[in-house]
Amino acid sequence: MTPLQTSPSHLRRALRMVLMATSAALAMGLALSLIVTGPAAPVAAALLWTGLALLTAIPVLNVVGVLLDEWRQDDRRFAAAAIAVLVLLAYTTAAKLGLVARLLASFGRT
Amino acid sequence: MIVFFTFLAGIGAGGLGALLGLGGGIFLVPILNIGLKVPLDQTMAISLVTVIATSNFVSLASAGRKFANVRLAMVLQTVSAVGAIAGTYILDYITEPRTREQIFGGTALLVTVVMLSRLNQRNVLPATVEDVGVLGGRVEDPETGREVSYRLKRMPLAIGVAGGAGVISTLAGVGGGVLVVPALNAWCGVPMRVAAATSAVILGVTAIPGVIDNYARGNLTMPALAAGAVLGVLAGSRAGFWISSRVKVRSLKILMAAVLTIVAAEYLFFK
Repeated sequence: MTPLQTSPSHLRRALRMVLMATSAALAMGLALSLIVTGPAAPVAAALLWTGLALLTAIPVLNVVGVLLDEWRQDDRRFAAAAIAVLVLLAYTTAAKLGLVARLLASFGRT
Repeated sequence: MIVFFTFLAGIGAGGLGALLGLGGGIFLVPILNIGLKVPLDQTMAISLVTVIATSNFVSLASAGRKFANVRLAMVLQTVSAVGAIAGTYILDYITEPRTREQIFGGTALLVTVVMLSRLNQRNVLPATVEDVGVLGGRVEDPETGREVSYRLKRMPLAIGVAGGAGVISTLAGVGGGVLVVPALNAWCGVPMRVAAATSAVILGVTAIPGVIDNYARGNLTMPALAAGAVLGVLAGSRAGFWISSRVKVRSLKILMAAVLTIVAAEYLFFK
């Protein structure tokens, strides 16, 4: 048995559903973007971006699942590794999307 | 029409990736860039999105979950994420598009060498150990039906390779599994199937900094193409896994190594 098999099955099921929702959003967005023009076009774009965002979120949710699992098993070393991964991903998201700069600028204004 | 061809390219890249034990990005980038004339920056961004899709597919599929060693993945993806983030900052200093072409060409050449050096790689380790340690594990070998246990060796090497894979993933827009899988299998004592499944789990997280960085740089402006590639890669991966259990891939590896040599030469010398 590998450590992954200890993950709660309900979380696995939820992640599989998110993956299915992702594929559905991407497929519908793609189909709409090919056949629809005019006012409905933003709906297609929204579906595509939602699908891509969900796709990117799945590995993060997987790490959250591992964190909860290791925490429950009282193995703080691997829980700490999961927290480190989440912190790194949060940092890169905030830094690259300019959230840190915007936050600092808002502090500067106040 | 280009979306349809991107979908087909995704099927081809995902299928080949699954057959050869790679992510598929190494095939997707040249097909989109050279074949469909999509700019290299956009192509690499789309490729990284498909890396996440492949990772999700493998880590949530029952076979992937059976073999992946999540604790090992968690430790290594901490390092690979640092490498990937470092890669995003290295990109700030790479202003010439030609440099990224050369990085991709070099990566394709590396993949070729690794692929050729592992033509006869078997999927199990012959020896078993009683004490598997904190990062080892036990899995059932599907070929013999017997339980195989393994203990992780040379952890610093695994950590170094994971960090390097993170950097390459961001710079070349590919998964980096070509480094992680052979290193875990050949040097760190991890059975092939466990190495491949664990690598897939690692690379999903590793690709995220690259995707976010590409989005921030304005390289991910064609969501329809990305969606076409993702859906194609998912379909291709499924087909590739099905075929891989029924065919011998040795000759396919040689053929693909030849194709990748040409791709590498194109990016290194002729573009």
